Amino acid sequence: MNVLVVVRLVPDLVEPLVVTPQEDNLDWEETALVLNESDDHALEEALLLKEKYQARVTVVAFDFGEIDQVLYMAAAKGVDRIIKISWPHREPPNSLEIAETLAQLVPTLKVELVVMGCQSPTEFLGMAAPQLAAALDWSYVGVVRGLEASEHPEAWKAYKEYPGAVLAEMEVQLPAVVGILTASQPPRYVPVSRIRAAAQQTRFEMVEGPRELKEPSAAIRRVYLTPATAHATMLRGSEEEVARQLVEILLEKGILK
Amino acid sequence: MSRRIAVPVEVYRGQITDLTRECLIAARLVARDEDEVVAYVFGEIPDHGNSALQLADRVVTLENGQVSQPVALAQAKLLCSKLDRKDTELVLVGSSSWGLDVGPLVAAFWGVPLVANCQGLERRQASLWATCRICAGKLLVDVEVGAQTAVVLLLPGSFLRKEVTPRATQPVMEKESVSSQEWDARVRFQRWIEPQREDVDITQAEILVAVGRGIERQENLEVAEELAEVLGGVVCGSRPVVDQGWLPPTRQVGKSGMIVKPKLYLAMGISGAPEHVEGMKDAELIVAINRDERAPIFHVAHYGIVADLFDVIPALKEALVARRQEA
Ligand SMILES: Cc1cc2nc3c(=O)[nH]c(=O)nc-3n(C[C@H](O)[C@H](O)[C@H](O)COP(=O)(O)OP(=O)(O)OC[C@H]3O[C@@H](n4cnc5c(N)ncnc54)[C@H](O)[C@@H]3O)c2cc1C
Ligand SMILES: Nc1ncnc2c1ncn2[C@@H]1O[C@H](COP(=O)(O)O)[C@@H](O)[C@H]1O
Repeated sequence: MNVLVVVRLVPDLVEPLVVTPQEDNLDWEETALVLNESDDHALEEALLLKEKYQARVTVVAFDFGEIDQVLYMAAAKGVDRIIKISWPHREPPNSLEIAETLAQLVPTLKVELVVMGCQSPTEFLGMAAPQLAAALDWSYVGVVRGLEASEHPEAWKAYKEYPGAVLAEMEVQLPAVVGILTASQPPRYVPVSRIRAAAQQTRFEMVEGPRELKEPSAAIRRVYLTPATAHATMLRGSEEEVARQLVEILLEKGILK
Repeated sequence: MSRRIAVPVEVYRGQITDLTRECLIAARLVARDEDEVVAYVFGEIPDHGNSALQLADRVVTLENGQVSQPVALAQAKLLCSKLDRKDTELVLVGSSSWGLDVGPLVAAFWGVPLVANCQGLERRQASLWATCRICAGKLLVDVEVGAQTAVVLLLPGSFLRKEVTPRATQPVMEKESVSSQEWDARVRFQRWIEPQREDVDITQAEILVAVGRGIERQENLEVAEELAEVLGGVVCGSRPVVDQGWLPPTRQVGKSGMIVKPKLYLAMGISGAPEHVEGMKDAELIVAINRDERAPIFHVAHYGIVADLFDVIPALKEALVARRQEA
C-alpha cells in the first residue's frame, strides 16, 4: 500500500496574530508558522500504517516558510519519500489551491490513500481534504480518529468522531482521501539530534506548483482580530488576592456552601 | 427571482440535531419573501422532529433503505443529483462531524464556493455576507458571497437564540424515492462504537475543573485533581489532554466530547476554541485562568484571571481550605 501524507504550515496560535493595515489579510511576514496539528496526526497515522501493514509513506508539502524543518522531522520519523511543491508566492496556499494542485500531482504518484488533517485553522473558503477527494473522485471520510485494515483488501476501516465520544466505524473503499483529526496514538517524538542527522541525509524531490493564482472564490472584505463583544470581568491582583476574590464570588453565587 | 435555500437535515441518535434547527433559523432569516427554504431529510422523519422542520417551507424526504445511514459521501452526491444547482442560492449545513464532510463535498461536486466556519450570515442589498471565525476563534473574516450558488458551513451557537416569526402555514411534505444506483456505496457505515463508561459522568457534575494544553504534562493533572477535590467537583479536559491519553474520552468537553452545563466551569489553560466552547458555553458560571489575555476563552467566561495556572491553583486551594476552617 502506498500512502501520501499532506503537511501544511499554519499560523502559530500561541503567538499574537497580526493583520495588515488594510485589514485584508494576515500579515504573513509577521506570522510565525507551525505544522498544522491535525496534519501531524495524519503523519503519525501514516507511520502507524507503515509499521502495522508495511505501507510505503510519501510526504508532500508546499515549499513555503520553514517547511524543510518539518520535512526533516518527517524524515527522522521514517517516511520513505519526500516531495516538495514549489510555491513562490507571498502567502501559503489556501485550501482550494492545495486541493487543485494535489489533484494534478496525486495521479502521477501511484498512491491509493491520501491522509491529511481534516481541517486547518485558517480555512474559511474551502476545505482542502474533502475538496481534494472530490477533485480526484475518490472516497472520502473526514473527522477521523484512526485507521485499520478491514477484511476486504480494497478497503480500510476509518473511525469517525461523533459527539459524546462516540465513534462511527466506516468502511472506505480505496482509492481514498481520509481527513484525520486525531491519530490512533499521540504523535511520536524524535530527538533533535535525529532531526539534524536527517537534515544531512535527506533529499527532496521537487515538483512545480502553479505560477499563476486564481482569484478567491468569494470576496474577502475584511480580516480583523475578534473584538471582545462580551468579556469576562477580570480579577486582578496577586495570586492570593484573586483567589480570595474568587472564593467570595463562589460563596455569593451559592456554589460553595 | 425566487431561489431555494436548502438545509440538509442531520439526524443523530434518532433526533434532528439542534444545529440543523439553527441552520433552518439562519435560512429563514436570510430568505426573502419569494425564496423557499427546503429541508432535505435522509430517510424517515424522526418522531418529535417536526418542530424544527416547521421552519421550512417544504420538507423533502429522500427514501430508500440505505439513505438514513450516516454516509456523507453518498448523501452529498444524492443532494447534488436531487437539487437543481441553478435554482439553489444557498446550501446551509451545520459544522458538525457529519456536516464537515457533507458541505465541502457538495461544494466541490458542484464547483461552487464553500464558506466554512461561518458564525454570521446576513443579506446586504443583493448579496449575502458571511462572517467566519478562524484561527481557533482569534480572527474574523467578512466575506461577500457573490456567486450564484454557495455552500455555507454554520458554526453551532450562532443562531440558536435568534427570533424568527413562525410561519402561518404547515410546510409542504414531499417524498422522493432514491434508486440504489444513486447511492454511492464506496463508503459504508458499519456500526456505532460507544465509549467505555467510566465511574463519573461529567454531564451530571455541578462543578467541573477543566484543564487544557496549558497543564503541560500528565503529572500536573494531580494539582487539578486536588483542586477539584477541595471544590467538590470533577476534572475534565479539552481535546489535547484527552488525545494524549491523560484523561479518558468521556471526560472531553466539546464538539466530539460532552456537552456540559455545570453550576461552575473552571477553565484552566484552555484557549477557548469554538469546538471546545460548543460544549461548555451554557455553564451557569464560567471562570477562566489563562496566561494569554487575548485568549478567546475570556469572551465566554464570566470571570477571568490572566495568570499562570500553576500559581493560581495553590493559592485558590489555600483560600478554599482557609474558608472551610473559618466556617
Ligand atoms: C471536528 C473537531 C472537533 C473537535 N472537538 C473538540 C472537543 O470536543 N473538545 C475540545 O476541547 N476541542 C475540540 N477540537 C479541537 C479544538 O479546535 C482546539 O484545538 C482545542 O480545544 C484546543 O485545546 P486547548 O484550549 O486545551 O489548547 P490550546 O488551544 O493550545 O490552548 C492552551 C491555552 O493554555 C494557555 N496556557 C498555557 N500554559 C498556561 C499556564 N501555565 N497557565 C495558564 N494558561 C496557560 C495558553 O495561553 C492557551 O490559551 C475539535 C476540533 C475539530 C476540528
Ligand atoms: N513531538 C515532536 N516530534 C518531533 N519533533 C518535534 C516534536 N516537538 C518538537 N519537535 C521539533 O524539535 C525541534 C526542537 O523543538 P523544541 O523542543 O520545541 O525546542 C523543533 O525543530 C521541533 O519542530
